[in-house]
Amino acid sequence: MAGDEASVGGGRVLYAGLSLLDRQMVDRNDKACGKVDDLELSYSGDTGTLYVSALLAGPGMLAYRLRRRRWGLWWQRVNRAMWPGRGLEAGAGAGEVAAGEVARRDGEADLLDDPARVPMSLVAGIDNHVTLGTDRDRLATMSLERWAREHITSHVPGGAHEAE
Amino acid sequence: MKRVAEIFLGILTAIGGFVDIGDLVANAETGARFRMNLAWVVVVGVVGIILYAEMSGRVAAMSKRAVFDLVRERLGPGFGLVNLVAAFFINFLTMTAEIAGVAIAISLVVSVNYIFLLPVSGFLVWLVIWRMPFGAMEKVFGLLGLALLVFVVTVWKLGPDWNSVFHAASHPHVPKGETPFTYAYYGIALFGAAMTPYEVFFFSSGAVEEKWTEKDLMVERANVLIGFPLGGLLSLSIMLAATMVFAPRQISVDQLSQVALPTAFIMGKLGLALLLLGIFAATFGAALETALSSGYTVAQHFGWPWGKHLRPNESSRFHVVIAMAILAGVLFAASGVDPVKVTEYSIVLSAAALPLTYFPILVIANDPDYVGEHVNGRFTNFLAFIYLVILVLVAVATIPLMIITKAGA
Repeated sequence: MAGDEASVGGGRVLYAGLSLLDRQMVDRNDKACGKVDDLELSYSGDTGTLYVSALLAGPGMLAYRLRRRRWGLWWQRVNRAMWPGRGLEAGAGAGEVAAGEVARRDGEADLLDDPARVPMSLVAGIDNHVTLGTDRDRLATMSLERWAREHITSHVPGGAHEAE
Repeated sequence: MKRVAEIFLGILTAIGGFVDIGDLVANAETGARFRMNLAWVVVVGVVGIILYAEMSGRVAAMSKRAVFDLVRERLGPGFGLVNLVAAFFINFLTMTAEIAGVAIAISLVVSVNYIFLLPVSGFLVWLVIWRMPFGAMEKVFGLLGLALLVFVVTVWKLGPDWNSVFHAASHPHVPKGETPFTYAYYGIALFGAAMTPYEVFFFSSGAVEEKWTEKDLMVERANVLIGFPLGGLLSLSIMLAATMVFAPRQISVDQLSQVALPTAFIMGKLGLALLLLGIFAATFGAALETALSSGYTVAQHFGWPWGKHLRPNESSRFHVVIAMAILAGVLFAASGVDPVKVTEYSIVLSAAALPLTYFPILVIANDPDYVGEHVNGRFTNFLAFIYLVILVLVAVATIPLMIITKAGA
């Protein structure tokens, strides 16, 4: 997992397992949007090396990484049932998201379609946290947050206001 | 000048906010049973919390990241999750005890059984978290907590022979009728009460909430280095009052209301009124801190948006966790558990879990990626390492001692 991303053109050398895994993700407005729960590695035929192609985060991903695969898959299924239309297409079980196999689907448009995959092209910066060049409302990692807002906190007086 | 006022206010809040139900119960109990023979543990505990609270505040100010946020990063997701479950559970026990403490403080005034006041107490805690800004919340209850200084006045009026107090405190021994095991068990309780983990969860999350920067480090250090020792003196005055009033009469402390007896005895109505206000503020403030900590730990582990600086709608899951924790705490307290026992278990189990919280802080406070040039000095590291050894020894000894002494019976 700790495949170092060799520097190309004098970039920083990072250890993916150390600098990416379990780091806080923030969106382009500096708002928290989950942790990096796992990494997707891809094989590049050109250079013959593995590289990190996406950050995996969100419903079920952490359980999956902790070898609670059944629980992780169950949680993803619940998630898909609650937000139909945003789920993976039929047949593409979440198991395929694990490191190694890649379904290349870069670009912002389908972030919500895949509960757990943020392509590296959306990573804007790696510091002591990972900054994403997108808005967190576009991320599936926030679906439960949105649910809690829509169904719980927005119904309580004062939920929409800052404390005063 | 503004900065001086800020520091002064911070110190006052730190003193008033230092004591919670754990300190009240542990100090009164040990004073009654062991006189001043365990006073040294309070000193050891206060030095420990100063060391680690300062580190966690520094990490938060420099990296804008709270402690529990970093635990998972440093310990990995599996161990991080175990840590989360342990921290959440212990914090839940502490929160339950504090909410019960608030209800008991109100019940002593209105003469209604505290069980009926638990929903009121829980609702007030939730309401303040939902609506009151962080800074105001911290100041109001910290300053009201200063009413507990009547303990110092009580001790002064009791007029102890200071020479013999210092002699007793500096020549500790296991008193007659107690075993080395019960002595060690209550020592651990005192230690756990002084170093409860929620204090650093809250302290570091608070630093992020209030957007501390490098410039605030001086204020932070003053709060910790001056406020905490004075808070420790307040704890010791509770112990000394219990030593002078309860120990000679062989009264053991098994109810929170008894903590108020020495003051009521010596200072009458006014003293009692101030003391009840102080107990209310101290337990209410700590109930807020622990309830918030239940949200902080979970949200920070999973990377959710958190904090009172956000609108509740922007940190919905955080608020849902807090509200559910408070509700569960009220139900648990209303089931008829003995609040003093819950307090005891919470501080003793805190002691057992201390290394889980404090080890990652020590590692991160030495990592320039997080704190820049403000890494620990050699002296801090030396002391912190010694404390880590103590914490591990305490953690290993806690459960066996709990079994041997039948939880201090």
